Amino acid sequence: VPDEAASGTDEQHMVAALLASQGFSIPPDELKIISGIYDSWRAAVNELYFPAAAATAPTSFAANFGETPTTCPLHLPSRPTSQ
Amino acid sequence: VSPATIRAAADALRRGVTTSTALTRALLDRAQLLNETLGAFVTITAESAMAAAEQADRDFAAGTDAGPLQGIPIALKDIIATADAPTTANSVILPRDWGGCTDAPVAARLRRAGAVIIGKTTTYEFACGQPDPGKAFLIPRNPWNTAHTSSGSSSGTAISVVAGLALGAVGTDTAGSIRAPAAATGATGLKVSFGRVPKSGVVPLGHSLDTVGPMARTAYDCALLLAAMAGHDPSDVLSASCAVPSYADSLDGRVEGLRIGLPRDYFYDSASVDDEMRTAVLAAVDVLRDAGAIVREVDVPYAREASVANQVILFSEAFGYHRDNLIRRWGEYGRYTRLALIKGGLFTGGDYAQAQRVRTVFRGVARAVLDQVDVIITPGAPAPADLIASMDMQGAALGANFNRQWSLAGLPALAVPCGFSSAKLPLSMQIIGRPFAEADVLRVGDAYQLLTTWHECRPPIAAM
Repeated sequence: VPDEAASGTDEQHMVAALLASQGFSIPPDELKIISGIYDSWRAAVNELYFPAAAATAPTSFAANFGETPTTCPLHLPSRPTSQ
Repeated sequence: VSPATIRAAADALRRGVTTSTALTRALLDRAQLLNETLGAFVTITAESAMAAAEQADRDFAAGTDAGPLQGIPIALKDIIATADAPTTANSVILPRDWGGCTDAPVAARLRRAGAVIIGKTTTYEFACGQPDPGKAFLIPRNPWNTAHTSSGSSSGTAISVVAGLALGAVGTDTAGSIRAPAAATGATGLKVSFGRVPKSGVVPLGHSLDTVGPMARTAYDCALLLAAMAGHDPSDVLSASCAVPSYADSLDGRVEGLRIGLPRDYFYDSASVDDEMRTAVLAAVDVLRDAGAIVREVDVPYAREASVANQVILFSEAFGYHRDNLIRRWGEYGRYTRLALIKGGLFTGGDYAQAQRVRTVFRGVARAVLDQVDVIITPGAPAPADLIASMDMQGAALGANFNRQWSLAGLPALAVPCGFSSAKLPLSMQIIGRPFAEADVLRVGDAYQLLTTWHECRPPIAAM
């Protein structure tokens, strides 16, 4: 991560450090943009931690696919039910 | 004058009014004339297309008929591998022989059905971000007004259909990438149930969300394309094993007694919903009501959270696929692509797990609503197509979005044109159905199109 990032905000430092730890070397102007993206998305993602979701049993990655309707649910009509 | 739909062209071919060779030649000529202006195609496969058209004509002459797609010129999004052209994903990152220079199962199925593939259509790079003028690819433009975006990521797929460069086309949809460009350009586009069409041989974006679906002028044509595309393939373990119905046979134009759900909150009442879009979609619902459908308001909670969860899952999965290339070749990605993909490196494992929990919650919401009604109708997009000069990928990413929820839940959803704005840009509604009930959403879309003519409107550039 370029030295210029050192003059940024705490959030920019955190984003820069996180990406540097994964091997990224990103120009400072784009790091600043990414930090802004992170800021706005962090607020939105934090809203996913709502009570109804927290009450849902955690699913493993494989179990998630198990819940995905990859087989045809037989109880569903092929046409609108009221027809 | 070339037929405007697959259905009309199939009829013309069988009546001897035209030949596949003549039809394909005409569309290739138009594609070559307009491609610099519209940016529809990355590659036009004229030679292999003409060979396929000649074969289709020989088959007709010999009495061999593979069905309604025989001899029909179509196009494929350039993230779908084919044997006769490189696959670029509109990127210099992807090796040109990606996919092993063989047809993806969906491409092979369409060829077996007799379709003539005339080219590979423009996508946003790797099906995300937005076009970067600094890269060596054409910028896709809206055929109704080339200063406006065609939306994406299946941009060229929509453009080719609406501008009359192909009679049908195939795109992919992970968070709206078929429905958004269909809405922006006035095409009819179907996002299928997750697993309905095999996606092996298709460059992944978010692999637990990705779908491959048809786009055309009409719901009827989408039904014809889907019938050839759908069904399990062993190369994609996530492709569904259930039978493929004859979708076109279910299109009888009847909607009497059909129960339509309108989720006012968020989908109609958000501040970002354009007034003309809202009015046009509600007018379309009135057309269906007048034809006998029963309309009721429904509650779809967690719509915003579902939209965000879709993006967390999508970009986490996309980051996993792209990370090593992003580290080594950052500057070779388009600016907007890399800024979109890097988000996935900033979400935590906990965020991804929580987004999957939200997915479970929202599936329950969708299931409960679709127990009360047969289909849900929303605007296809919050507003008509933006100006290219004012595209704001990051701003739009956190704004109201009406497509992502149904991708998250794995449900089928059809974008259908339903009017024009005062600026003469298309307006569109979205019809959402139960898992694997593609026949239902196509049936509603077809019934609407039998009662209206919005889908028949063609941009002036299509007459060139």
